[in-house]
Amino acid sequence: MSQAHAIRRREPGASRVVGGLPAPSRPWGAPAANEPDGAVSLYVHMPYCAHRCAFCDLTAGPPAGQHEPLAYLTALRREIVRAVEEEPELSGRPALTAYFGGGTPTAVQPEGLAGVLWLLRQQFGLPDGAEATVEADPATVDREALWALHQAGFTRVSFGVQSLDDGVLRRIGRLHDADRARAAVAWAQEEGFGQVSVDLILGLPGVSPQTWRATVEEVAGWGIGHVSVYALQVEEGTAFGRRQRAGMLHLPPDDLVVEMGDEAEAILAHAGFGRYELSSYARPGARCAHNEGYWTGRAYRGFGAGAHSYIDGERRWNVRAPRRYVNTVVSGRSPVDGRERLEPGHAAAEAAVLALRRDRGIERKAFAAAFGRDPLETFGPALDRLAEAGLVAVGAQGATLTARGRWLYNQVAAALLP
Amino acid sequence: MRNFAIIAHIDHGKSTLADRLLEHAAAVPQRQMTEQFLDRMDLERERGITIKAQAVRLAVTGEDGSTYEINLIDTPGHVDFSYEVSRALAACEGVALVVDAAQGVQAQTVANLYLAADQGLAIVPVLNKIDLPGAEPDRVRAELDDLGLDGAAAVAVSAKTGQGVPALVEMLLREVPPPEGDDAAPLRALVFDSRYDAYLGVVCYVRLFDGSVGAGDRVRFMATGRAFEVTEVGVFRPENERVDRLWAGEVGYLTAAIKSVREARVGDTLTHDARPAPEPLPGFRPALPVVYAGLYPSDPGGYDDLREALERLQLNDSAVVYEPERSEALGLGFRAGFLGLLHLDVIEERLEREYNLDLVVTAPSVVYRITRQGQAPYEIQSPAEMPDDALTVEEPFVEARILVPSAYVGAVMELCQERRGTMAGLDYRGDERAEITYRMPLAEIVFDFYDRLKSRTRGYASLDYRPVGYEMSELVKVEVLLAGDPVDALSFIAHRSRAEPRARAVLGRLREVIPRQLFDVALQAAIGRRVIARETVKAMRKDVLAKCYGGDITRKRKLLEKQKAGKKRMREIGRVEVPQAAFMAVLDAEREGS
Repeated sequence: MSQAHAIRRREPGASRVVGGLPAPSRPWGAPAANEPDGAVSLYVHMPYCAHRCAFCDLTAGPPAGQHEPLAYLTALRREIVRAVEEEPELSGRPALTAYFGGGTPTAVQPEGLAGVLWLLRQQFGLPDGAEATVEADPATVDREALWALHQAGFTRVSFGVQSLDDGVLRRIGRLHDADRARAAVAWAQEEGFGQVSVDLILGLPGVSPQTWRATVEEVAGWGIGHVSVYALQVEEGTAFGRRQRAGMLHLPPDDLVVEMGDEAEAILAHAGFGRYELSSYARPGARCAHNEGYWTGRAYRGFGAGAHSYIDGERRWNVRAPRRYVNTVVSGRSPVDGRERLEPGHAAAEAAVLALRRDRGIERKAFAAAFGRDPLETFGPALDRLAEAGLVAVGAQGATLTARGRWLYNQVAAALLP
Repeated sequence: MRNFAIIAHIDHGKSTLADRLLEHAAAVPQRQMTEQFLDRMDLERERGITIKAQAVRLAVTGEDGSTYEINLIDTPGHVDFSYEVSRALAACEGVALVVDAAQGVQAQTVANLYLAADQGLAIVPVLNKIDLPGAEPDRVRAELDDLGLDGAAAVAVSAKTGQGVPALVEMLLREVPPPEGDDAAPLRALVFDSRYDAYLGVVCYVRLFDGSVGAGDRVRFMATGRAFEVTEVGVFRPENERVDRLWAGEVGYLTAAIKSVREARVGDTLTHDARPAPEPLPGFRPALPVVYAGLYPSDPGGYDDLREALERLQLNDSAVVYEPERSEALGLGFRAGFLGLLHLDVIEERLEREYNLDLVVTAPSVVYRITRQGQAPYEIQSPAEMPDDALTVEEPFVEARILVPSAYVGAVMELCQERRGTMAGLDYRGDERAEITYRMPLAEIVFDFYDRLKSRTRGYASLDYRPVGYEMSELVKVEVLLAGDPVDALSFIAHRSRAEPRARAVLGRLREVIPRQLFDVALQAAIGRRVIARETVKAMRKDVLAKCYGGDITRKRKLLEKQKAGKKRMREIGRVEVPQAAFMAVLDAEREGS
């Protein structure tokens, strides 16, 4: 913690939103009342997938050879050990959560993941029972794998279910069908995962309001604690991107997507799921503590190819290509490929934009403590315009998105960013 | 010495033929030879068209064993650039009239032939592309006969293979007379083109009719009266090659530290300051702009850059005219006149490329003549200027000549009728081809008529037109309102009978190009206070970044910043953000309609 203010001289050139403020030294929104000072989240990236889905723009795909995942796990372990030895800014920070994302973490053997989790506990003192999530593809896990992951200490599993309409699943190139998803979720519950989350994608080609409703209603009835609903984004460089450019991608119109999204929110609310973030719904006590850190300014350290870290106001990221990552780490060099430190005005704006994703929005007090200035004043004119357009609600405690603002989040973000 | 130009309908192979003539004279070393060598602009090479006439001097040996200097001028074929052709012809004694042996005589063949004949030039007909499987030399020879030429005497060549090129050179040497002129008489040099060079200033392209000129001479422009000392004279090979003097009959260039094109007008006559010629050469009529459009910098701060670029460009293209204009919606810019839509297109692209500008171009308009109570008639170049209380509005009419295979006569007549044309003549040429003449408003022809004509005749029709004066029409100004506020740059003039469908098409197009905003945007079109069409750009429903975790934050922020920068390129009119494409909606609607 002592390094918090000592990192870099401010670059010349005044900030455009907030002038002359230090980078935030503490979170700008408190996820839980009992979060310890200087807490850090740990992220592990697994870049492998059995194959690439039509909507995915991540650099994930099948490993180049049979031994590549092993080499990758070795590199990961090295990066973790070296971080603890060589990065003083990490010392003394209590580790709060771990999250294994991808790609498809379950594309590698559970023992490999278990080993890395064990190492995190060793090196960072991640307490027993701390939230440790693993993302899983229903097609690549079976009961035994889930048992092994649970035994290894993972407390939470997040399934990429996407839809329960087999036609839609085929069209987007998923390898599982609805029955496999149902089975995977049941196995996870039976093998002892207290926290199960399911991802759904809203607005996929071929979806109808009827099949969408059926999907959401069924998922809400599975007895799980967490659901993420992502509106489809068509990205360049994906199969969907190419199809769209060729005029071959038939997406439901925006009005219908909004209708379906609102319906999902209503169904989930009825089943006891609160929308605590733009895309995240949870029953009481089942919020994802790890993800909340991203939106509240908690430090995080990411390991693996393309992983991002954010510590003491600096963001940095590793080389993206798995093989380059492995070669760099194994040959003893740093895998960091880029870093950025936002000047305070930009950092404050970004913090505001991230905070607004949450149900608690911009929390005036926490924000002012982190940045030394009242956010309602700092963003006053922009917030006024957004309030006038019906996108945000401003009150004495801070500002939150309205229902319309949640659908137009990018517009809100663009208005606040310098 | 021989001076001649190559003229033809577009795509009949002029520039390729010029390449072969260059090779024949070994004017360009083989390794420097590129296709369409004389098309120097990037734009010309990319589009495969000639925009600017280009001169080159070659030395060829005739069958008689003597060496001839020839000046060859390659000319553009598109109707928009016929002014370039007529200027080039003023420097010549003859032309090679190139006709595609497969396509036969086309409208620009006829138009260019008339231009040459009007100037009393020797005409050498050439059948090009005789190597093509579809070539029909006999039919095309008969067509040339119909035009009053000697079809049998036409030289058959293939500019692609070089076949027939030596015979053509012989024919040109025989048929094109050597220039006349008196080296000892007072200097008379016609400025037929000009170009701006950063080092030399204005470079005048001249044809000497009498006398001679060299560096150090003091010369005077007879029309402007401005006098300069000549710094350099030379010829085109095709790079500038300095010579001591240019003599009567020669074509070349001349520089004199002239800084502004206003001082060296194309068409003016140069003479010696001390020993002036009694009379200038006839020159030619200045190019008359056919369409006008507003040119505005995308970023309102870019006005000065745009002005400077236009000044520069005018040195290269004297056919561009412009004057400052102020739009309520777009701020300060220019109203510029062009020879046609292709010309506008070319100028816009040159401004953006050669001068690195980002432009908003408003929909082009023709020049209307307005009469108001108690006032002399006056002309307007912009729909925004049209008053509500005009007694009469007149618009320019043209006589359009369309050559087409007989089978398409019906289709052409239908199109011309739709475009408010009245038929002025229909002549069949043999069994297969017809020449159709229509009198129609220029506004109906300028925009998309040619494309439309091509598509209805499977590409067979060719078009030429000439102005025939103004006529009264029932024209109305249609105002376009965005969120209730009229936007001057979007208003247009239409014939009363077509105002409503056009307004609907324009609003339909605007609805497509104006991005959804945070609120509903009403689009209305009105004649006076009467709204004749309406549309709504519905408010944006969804624009959401669904996933935002550790690795997404930086990437997505950059994406949003980029989006935001893109937004800055839009013009904010009232509360509505309007992209550049909106200002061309009037034209696009026209192009897509009917």
